[in-house]
Amino acid sequence: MKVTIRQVAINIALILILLWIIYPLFWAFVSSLKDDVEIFHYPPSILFSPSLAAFRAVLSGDWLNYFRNGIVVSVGGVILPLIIGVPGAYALARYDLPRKNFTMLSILSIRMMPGIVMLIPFFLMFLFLHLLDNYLALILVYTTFNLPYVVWIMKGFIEQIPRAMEEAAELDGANLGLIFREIVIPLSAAGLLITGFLCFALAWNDFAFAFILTNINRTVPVGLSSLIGSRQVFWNQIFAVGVINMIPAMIFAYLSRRYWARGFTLGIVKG
Amino acid sequence: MSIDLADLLLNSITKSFGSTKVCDNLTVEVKDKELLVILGPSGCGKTTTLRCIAGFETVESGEIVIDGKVVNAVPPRDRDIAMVFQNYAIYPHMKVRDNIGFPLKVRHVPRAERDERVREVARLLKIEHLLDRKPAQLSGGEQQRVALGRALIREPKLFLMDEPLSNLDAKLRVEMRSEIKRIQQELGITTVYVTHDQAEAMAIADRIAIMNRGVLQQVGTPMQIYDMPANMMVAGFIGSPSMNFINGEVLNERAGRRIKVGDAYLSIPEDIGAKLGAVSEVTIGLRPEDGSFEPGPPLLRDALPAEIYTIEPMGTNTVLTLNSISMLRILVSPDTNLKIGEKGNIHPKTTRMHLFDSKSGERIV
Repeated sequence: MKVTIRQVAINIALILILLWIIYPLFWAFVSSLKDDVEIFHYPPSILFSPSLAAFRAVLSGDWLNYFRNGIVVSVGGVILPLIIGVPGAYALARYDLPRKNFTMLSILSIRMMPGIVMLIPFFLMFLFLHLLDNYLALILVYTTFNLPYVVWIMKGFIEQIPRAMEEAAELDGANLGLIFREIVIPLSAAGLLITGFLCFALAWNDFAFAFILTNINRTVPVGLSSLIGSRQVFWNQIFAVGVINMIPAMIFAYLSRRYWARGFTLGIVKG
Repeated sequence: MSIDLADLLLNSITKSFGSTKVCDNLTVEVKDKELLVILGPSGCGKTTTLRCIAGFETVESGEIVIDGKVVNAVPPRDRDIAMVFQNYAIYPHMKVRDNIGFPLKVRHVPRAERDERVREVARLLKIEHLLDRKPAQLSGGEQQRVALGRALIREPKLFLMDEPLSNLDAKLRVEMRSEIKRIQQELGITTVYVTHDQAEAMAIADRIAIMNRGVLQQVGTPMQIYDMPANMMVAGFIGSPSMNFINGEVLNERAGRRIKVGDAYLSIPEDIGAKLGAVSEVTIGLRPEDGSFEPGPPLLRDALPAEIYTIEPMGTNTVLTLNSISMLRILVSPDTNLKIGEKGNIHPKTTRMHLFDSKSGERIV
C-alpha cells in the first residue's frame, strides 16, 4: 500500500496530540508509585524502585469513606437528572409546546451561570432544610447543574429517532409509556450512556459544592485538599488518589466505547 | 389466517397546513377487500390523507368512517389499522421475530401463541429463516417483508401503505408489488396504498384515486383512468411515455368539423364533433401508441409533419421523439430502421384522440 506524505504527517500529528494528552496521566501514574522520599527527588526520574506505599495510605481509613460518598452522590447525580430530564427532553423533542425555545434557553442558562455564584445560596438553603453534610444536598446540586446537559443532549438524540417508529408502535396498540420504554429508551441508549457519563464525571470531580456542603461525608476531591498541608504536600498520595479516581471513568469509557463515535455524531441506527 | 373486513369512507375531508390546503373536500370510498391506490405527484396530499385515516393528523372538517363508525375522535391505536411506512419503521434493536410479534406483545398475547403466529406470518412472507436476525442484517426487500409481517400479524380491519416500495431498486420493486398484491388478494384485506409511481398503481390497484394539489381528480379502475382520463392532469400523469398534448382550433365546415393544428388539419368523427358544442379551442391528447410515423414528404391532411429528434429503443418497442408542432412521442415497432433527422408524418388514430378544453383542462370527449 502506497503511503503518502500527507498520511505520514497526519499520523505524526496524531501521535504528538496523543502524547500531549497521555503524558500527564503517565506522569501521575509514575508519581503515584514513588515513596515519600523519591517523590521529592530532583530532577524527577522514571527509573526508580516502585512502591505501593502511597496507595496503601489512601486505600485505608477515611479514604474508603470518601470513595463511597463520591460514588453515592455521583450515581445519584446521574439517576435523578435522567429520571427528570429524559421525559422532559422527549416532550421538547416531540411536542409543539408554547414558548419552547424560551424554555430550552432557560434550561441552558442554568449551565451558563458560574457555579460559584450558587455556592452561598445553596449553603443557606440546605442549612435551612437541615441537609448540610447530607448526600441528598449534593445530589440535588448535581441534578440542578446536570439537568441542562440531559435535556439538551437527549433532545437531540430523541429527535433523531424517526417518528414513524413511534407511530408504528402507536398503531400496534402501544400507549405513550410503552413507546417510551420499548422504543425511545433503547434507541437512545447511546445518548443515555454519554449523558450519564458526563453527569457522573461532573459530580465525581466536583470540589466547590462538596467542600461547602459536606463535613464528615466529604468526597474524594475534598479529601485531596487535606493532603496539601501548610508545611508538606503529600504529592505521591495525591497522585495515587488521582489514579484511583480515574479508574471508574476509564472502565466506563472502555465498556461503552462503541457508542461514543455514534453518540458524538448524534447518529442513529437506520430503521 | 382470518381477517375481519371493513369499508372505509372519507366524507368531504379537508385538511390544511397553515394557509395551504392539502386535502380539499375529499370524498372517496374504499370497498370491502378492495385495494385502492391514491396516486399523485409529490406534495399532492396523498400521504396526508393516509395519515388522516390512521389518525396521526386531525381533519378540519369531514368524517372518516371505518366499518360504519365515525373515527375522527378515535386515537390511532384504537382504530384497528395497520400501516407499512415508507422507511418500514421496523425497530432496529429488536430481532425480526420480536418486530413481527410486537403488536401481539402489546396486547399481552401469551408467548406460545405469539411465537406460533409469528412463524405463520413468516411462512406466508417467506422469511422464516430470518427470524433471529436484526434489521441491520437484512436487505431492503427483507426489511419490507418484516414491516408487512408486523402489520399482518394483527389481522387489522384496514391496511395502509405509504409508498412502501420507493426505497427498493426497480427489479425488486416489481417483485414486491406482485407479492403485495398476492397477499392482499389471498387475505382479502381492505387496503389503501399511496404511491407516486403510476406504473405501480396501474399494476396493483383495483381502483385508483388520483390527487393533485389536495383535490381529487378522478376515481376509477386502472383501465377507466387510462382510457377515459377526466382531465389533462390525469391524462398526462398516467401512461408511460406520457400523453402528447397538441393545441388546436376547431373549424366548422360543410363536410364536418375539423381541428386545425398549425398548418395541418385533422378530421374528427361526426359523433365526436357533435359533442364539441361551441368549443373553439381544444387540446388534443394523443397517447404515443395511438399514432404512427411514416417517412415521406409533408402531408397536411390527417397528418402532422415531423422530423425525428431522438430514437430510444426500449426492447418491446421504440420511442420516437418527433419535432412537429411541438415535441411529440410516438411508439413504433422495435425493428424500425428509421434515422435521426428523417422527415415524415405522424398519423394519429383520430378515433383514439382525447379532446380537452384548452382553458380548464377538463375532458370534453
